[in-house]
Amino acid sequence: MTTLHRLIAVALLAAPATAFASEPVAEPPVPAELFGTAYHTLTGRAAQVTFSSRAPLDKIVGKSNRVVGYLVAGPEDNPADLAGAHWVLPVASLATGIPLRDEHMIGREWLDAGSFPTIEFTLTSVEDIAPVKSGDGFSTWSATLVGEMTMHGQSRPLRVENTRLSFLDESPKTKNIADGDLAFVKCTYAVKMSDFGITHKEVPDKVADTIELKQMLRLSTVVPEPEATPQD
Amino acid sequence: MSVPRALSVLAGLVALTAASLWFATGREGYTRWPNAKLAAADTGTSAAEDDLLADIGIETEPTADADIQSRFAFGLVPGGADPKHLLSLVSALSVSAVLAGLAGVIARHEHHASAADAGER
Repeated sequence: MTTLHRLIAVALLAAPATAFASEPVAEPPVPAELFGTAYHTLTGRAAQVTFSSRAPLDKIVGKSNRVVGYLVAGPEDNPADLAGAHWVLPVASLATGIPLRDEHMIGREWLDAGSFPTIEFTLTSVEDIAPVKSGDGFSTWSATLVGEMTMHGQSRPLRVENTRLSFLDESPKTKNIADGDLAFVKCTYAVKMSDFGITHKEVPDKVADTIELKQMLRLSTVVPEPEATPQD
Repeated sequence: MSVPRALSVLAGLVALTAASLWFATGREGYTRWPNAKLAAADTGTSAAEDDLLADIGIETEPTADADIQSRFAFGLVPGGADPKHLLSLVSALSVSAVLAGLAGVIARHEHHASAADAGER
């Protein structure tokens, strides 16, 4: 064992377990008035959200795989015309790999997870729907998701353009990922922290006001079992 | 080997080792260590999933994820206040500078002492 490996092993043993905890969030209920096939977000797997801040003096990248929520597909011939969607991200689940930075990020001066423990997106409509690719048991679409994002206790309208939406019937291939019919939502967008009342003296030199987010959500018609959403 | 020379060599070694470690571990800004929270935030995808996504028209382009893998990186500056995060290139160069300074002080002291000895003779 090299000295480096010993140092790493000691660091892992010494790390406080409490530093890794992030409270799980329950999936918001699918409203009864929404008609269509409901897909439930699969959490605890590959990163669902990757955010990046590119400021002159520092670059910060973080991620989370604790997003919960649902989408309700549209008509069979145009499932991308979603009847509804709602996703919730626990703020404390965001990780940058540097514990001190994580503490600051969720602290009162920034996202204030104590007062505002989640970031949420609620869909209001879908625009610019266009087919991208279809085949045996699947269809992929491009669309603009229009809705409202709530962060730091403030809600603002948000348009997520060029979102990819895929819907797959259950097959041996999809069962490698999860049971049930699957859906994927992939998008890239940006939000300005100042729009949500987050200001700090380190903006814009060390932290950019505009944060870029990349999302890749995997969803299934089968409600995930508790063991499929492992806790920290 | 005299003490000043040994200290100078040690200072050089510390600086060289730190610079090599910084370079070898990705030249990151802050020192980082394997982090369970970060590891839990991404369990990765299978090749089967990647293939499926490619088939249905969702590209899996490389992202900045590699920047935040749960791993050790000897950073340019400390990544926190706890001892293991204090290790960094700047910290090591500070230690190296102190050692080099100490070597200089001792060498000057020895030089003055030997000059004084020579004067007495």
